[in-house]
Amino acid sequence: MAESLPEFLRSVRNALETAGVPYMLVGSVASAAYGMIRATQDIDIVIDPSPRSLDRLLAEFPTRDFHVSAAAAREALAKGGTFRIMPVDALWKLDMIIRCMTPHGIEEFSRRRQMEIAGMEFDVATAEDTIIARLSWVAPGGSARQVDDVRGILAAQRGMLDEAYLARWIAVLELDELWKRSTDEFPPPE
Amino acid sequence: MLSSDTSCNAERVGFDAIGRLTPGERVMRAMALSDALRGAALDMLQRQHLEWSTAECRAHLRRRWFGVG
Repeated sequence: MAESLPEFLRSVRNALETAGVPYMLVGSVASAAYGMIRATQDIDIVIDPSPRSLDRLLAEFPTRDFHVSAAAAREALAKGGTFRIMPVDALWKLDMIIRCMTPHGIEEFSRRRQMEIAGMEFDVATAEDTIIARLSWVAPGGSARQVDDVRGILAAQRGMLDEAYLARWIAVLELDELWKRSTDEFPPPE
Repeated sequence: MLSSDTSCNAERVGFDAIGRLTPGERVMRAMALSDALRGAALDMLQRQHLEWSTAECRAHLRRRWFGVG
């Protein structure tokens, strides 16, 4: 059983590789990579399994060691959605998000990049797609944490972002208002 | 869920590191914060409930944070 979160992340990566499931790290882990460091509440991973590779992946997380529902995982794959994996002997939560087949979901998965974390290569969403995802996940009424994550990325990645790509998807996904709230503090370079 | 007070402290600690670390090092810092906060929460709960086993404390926190356990 993994004793630390980095060790757990390495074991998850090995399980995905063994099962042959394409993936990318998203959420607060990706936000920390590109912007503000804060404690991660969970690990979010977008996965693109087939029914067979999903079964291989589930076999890597035996129920004696993990809280995981194979039925929930198969339903998530069939209908689109998320399932959870939690180690019995630790307090980490892994959210496995089935790859979204929307135009943006397809493009962001194709743009994922490799990043060395804890001595291993991981596939991670790009900074631009992490921004778009954080804005998309803001609940109705707004979430200061998601907007703060975006501000953190803008502060750290200033001048290195693909502005045209961001502008295109912010317009398509109608995220203009949230984007304005985020960029009031860190306007894009002219 | 971690308490908002604790998360705010973590954010302030981490903000100083922006620009001096590689992306992978930033992730490692974030995970170290997470490990430390979870360890502290578990330790505090065990002190409050000496009669509870470690597994019971973990289950309690899992229910509180994630709604399951």
